[in-house]
Amino acid sequence: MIKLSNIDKYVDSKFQRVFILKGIDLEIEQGEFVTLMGPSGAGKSTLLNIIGLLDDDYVGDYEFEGEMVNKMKEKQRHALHKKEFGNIFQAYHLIDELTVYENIETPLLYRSVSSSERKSIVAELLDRFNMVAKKDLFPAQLSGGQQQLVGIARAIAGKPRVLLADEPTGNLHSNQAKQIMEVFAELNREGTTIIQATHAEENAAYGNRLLEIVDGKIEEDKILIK
Amino acid sequence: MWKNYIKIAWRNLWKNPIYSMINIGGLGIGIACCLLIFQYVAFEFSFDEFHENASDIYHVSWSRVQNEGEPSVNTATGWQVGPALAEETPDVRRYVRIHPEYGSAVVSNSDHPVKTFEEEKVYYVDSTFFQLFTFPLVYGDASRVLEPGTLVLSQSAAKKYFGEEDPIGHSLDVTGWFGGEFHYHGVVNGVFKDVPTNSQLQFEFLVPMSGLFQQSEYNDPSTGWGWNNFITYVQLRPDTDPVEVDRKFTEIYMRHRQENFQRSNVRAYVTTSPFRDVYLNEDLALYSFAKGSSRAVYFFIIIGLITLLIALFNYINLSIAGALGRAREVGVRKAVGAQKFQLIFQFISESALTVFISTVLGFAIAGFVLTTVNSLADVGLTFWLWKSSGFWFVFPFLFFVIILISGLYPALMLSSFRSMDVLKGNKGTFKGGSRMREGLIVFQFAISIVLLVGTIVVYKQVNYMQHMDLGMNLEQVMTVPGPKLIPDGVDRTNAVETFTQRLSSLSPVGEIATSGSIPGKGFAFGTNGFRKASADQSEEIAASGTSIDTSFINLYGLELVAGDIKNRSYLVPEGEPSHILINETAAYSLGFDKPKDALGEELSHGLVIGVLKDFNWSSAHHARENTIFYLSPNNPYISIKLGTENLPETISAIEALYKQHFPGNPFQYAFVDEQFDQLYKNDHRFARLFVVFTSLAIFIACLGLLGLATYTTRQRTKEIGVRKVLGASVSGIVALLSKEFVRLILLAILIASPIAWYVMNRWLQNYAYQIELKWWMFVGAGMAAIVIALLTVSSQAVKAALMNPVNSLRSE
Repeated sequence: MIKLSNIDKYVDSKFQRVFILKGIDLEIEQGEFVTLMGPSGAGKSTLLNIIGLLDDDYVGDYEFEGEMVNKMKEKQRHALHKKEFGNIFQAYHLIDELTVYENIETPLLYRSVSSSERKSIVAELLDRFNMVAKKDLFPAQLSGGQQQLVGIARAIAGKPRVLLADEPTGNLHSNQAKQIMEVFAELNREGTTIIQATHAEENAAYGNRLLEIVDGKIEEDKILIK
Repeated sequence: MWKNYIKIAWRNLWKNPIYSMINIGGLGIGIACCLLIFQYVAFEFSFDEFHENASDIYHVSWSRVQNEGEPSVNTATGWQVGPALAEETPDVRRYVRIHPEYGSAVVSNSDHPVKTFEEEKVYYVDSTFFQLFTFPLVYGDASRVLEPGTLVLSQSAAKKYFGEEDPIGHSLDVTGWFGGEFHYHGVVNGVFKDVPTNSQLQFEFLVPMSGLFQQSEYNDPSTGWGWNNFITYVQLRPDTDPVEVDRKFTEIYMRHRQENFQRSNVRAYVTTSPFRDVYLNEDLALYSFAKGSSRAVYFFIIIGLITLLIALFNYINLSIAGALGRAREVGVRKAVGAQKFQLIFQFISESALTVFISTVLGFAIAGFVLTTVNSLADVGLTFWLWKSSGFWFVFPFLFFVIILISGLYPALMLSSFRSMDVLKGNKGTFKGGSRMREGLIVFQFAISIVLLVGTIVVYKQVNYMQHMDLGMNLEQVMTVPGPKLIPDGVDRTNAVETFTQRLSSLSPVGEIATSGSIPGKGFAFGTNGFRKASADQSEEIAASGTSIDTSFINLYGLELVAGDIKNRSYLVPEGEPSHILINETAAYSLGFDKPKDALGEELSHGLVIGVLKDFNWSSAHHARENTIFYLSPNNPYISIKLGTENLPETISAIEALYKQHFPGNPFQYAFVDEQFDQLYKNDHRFARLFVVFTSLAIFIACLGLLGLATYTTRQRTKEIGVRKVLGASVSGIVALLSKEFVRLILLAILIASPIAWYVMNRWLQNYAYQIELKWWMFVGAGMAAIVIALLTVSSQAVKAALMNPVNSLRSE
């Protein structure tokens, strides 16, 4: 599904070129649950941004379902991002001025989904995450775990095939973190490809593949057997 | 989608109520200013539009050029000009001549002499008046009014003189003064609707021209070209070429005056000006007609736009500042699939919402302050702009432009944030647009400083003019018009003489003088034929003057440089030149080396028996003119010097005496210094409006500064916390935060000063007597701007500096 070949990402400063990613070769199949692990600054987030099409400033080839992403035009890339990817963030990044319901609805608005269909999708998601009673609350009125649940609901509202999560439990207590990871595992069982970046060893256990990233390189790539 | 945008916009407005108030309030005030100004401008441009023939009516003026010198413009013509033009070109459909009552006339109801009043709005007009102009008649037949022996008056005048009675068939007596009293008895056969305020012709009574022509001097056709006291309007055929008409008119004029002009080496140029343009044309000043000023109109248009622009810049500025707080939202929206154009659209529609609310507020403010503006500007504005169709063409366009100006830059800036950058870490912070923001602040303050300098200069100039040494003493001088209604068999001169003798016996009354005109009321006559008696006609120059009696010079404190007027007799033996006084300017203009040398010389207008030190007969707008004073015992105005005590009793004593000596004449008094101040009415109005708009502009600019200061200090909370922990003092932090803004204001002062200098220098050129621009005016305005800005900023800075650093440094 996703195939990265020899991906380099660097910034040029006055005297030297600093590599953030160097020579990344990676293939991810549909239905995998991949965990990126590594110390801060290793390049996990950067790799996620490149996979999620939010960053196009890199060297190397990126194939998605056999299509060369790095040769695409802005518009095509944008359409692909919209269709296939959902993002989840450490700081949740909900829109403060919108209610739970409206936050989940937002991606559907950008996908020109009809009003009745939007209603049913959002209702279904609220139901699934047990948030029906909280649908009119604003993000500030929710706990961190609840906010992240809304973040997940928003990310999957557009029915993407790939879910990208950057430190999804970084700001959460362990109980809340566990709940979030269980949701991920369930989504993965339903067929969604999930790629997460995390510091927490215990989160990796939910996935079926672990990539150790150190200094912009993949140090280790192992299959986890549950 | 729309609902989502509006929801977000609405909630954002409520989230930062202070920003929103500053934003909407500032923009609302700007829009209100614009609305009021455009209402005023629309009113000024609406003058004389209501005439059906408006586009075909032209005013006829002519310029006189002597010895290839500067042309002198005459807005009035002789009485023969209108008929000659109509007869000798086919282009003229009709003409009408208007002879205002120069000064005032006494009008009385012939059957009820109790109804007697002094009236100024009297015109003597040709019978074509109602065909040319559109003034609807309430009573009377348009084809019969203005026949000889009749008279037409306005509805409110009819009420004043006849009450509820039907005025038709009743008669009025009109007694004016044209070099002597002039009497007309007319039967009312028409009543017209009151003249609208946006008409340059302002009159209450119309007397047929035939009445005026009863005067013997109009039997002499030679007076028909030289005496320029008729205002001539022509109605041209619709397809006439105005340039061609001017050429033909000039030719006709020259042909009739050939003999006369050749002798004095004069050429004349006739100019026709579209009727609708005359009101706003400062060069065409017409006696007793309403006069506007295109300069003032354009000035106010510019001021209105500037105020709006400052308010818009505020909006842009605050949006940019606020944008940084919304960078995260942009990032999220992009991550969930928003495209750039969708974001641009979102932010523009937010601007649209804000602008819409501001516009509603603007209308409300404008409606609310209308009466205040009316009293300040001395105008009678009503809100009718929104009723006109033109407004609805312009307004949506303007609305759209405002939205675009205010929304586009913030929208472009916001939508260009990259989600990758703004979503990194826990808090999305983003720096950007600070150059633009600083630029806008500098611009706003530069304008404010120009306006501040303007205020100082305008006030200094008005003050200077008002307290300028006129060379005359106008204090405690009361004037009353001399009697116009004189019973048969009574000699007016003697009657006035007896009155003044009785008057001078009243204790607080000082000197008493009579004259043809009084200071501030203009001169009684003007001439183009002033020269030494021995000189050639080609050396004739322009001069103005009035008749005076022998006490006049003393009463008004005029100083004689040479000669004297004591014991001068008014009666000059037959064949000898009459006695005149001239001013120094006139003496120099005639070519005398020293003013004294003119003494005893015979001039075209008489023998010089005295030369007066220069004085200002009119306001400081006008330079000193060549002035001639005739000695004459029979004059329309009486001036009375009063003491300061018991003024009310003195006045009633004078009134009693006046009524006793001049029965039937209305007693109307005025004080000369007050009347003279009236000449500065427009300047005062201008100064007041200037202050209003300057304060508004500065207020709006300060709102913007306040918003920005609030924002920057909030952004720098952490830095301030760190500095305090490291030992910075409160004053040090206040200085740190204020320094940045002071730097911007200093830059604004640098930019504003040359602009202000140029603009105010140009403005001062309109005055014959001007103040000098001094350096302190610029420094003063700059200091004021800095103080105002510091006061605005420091409240925020102090608040931030006093904050407990523990709060701001708590981990996120």
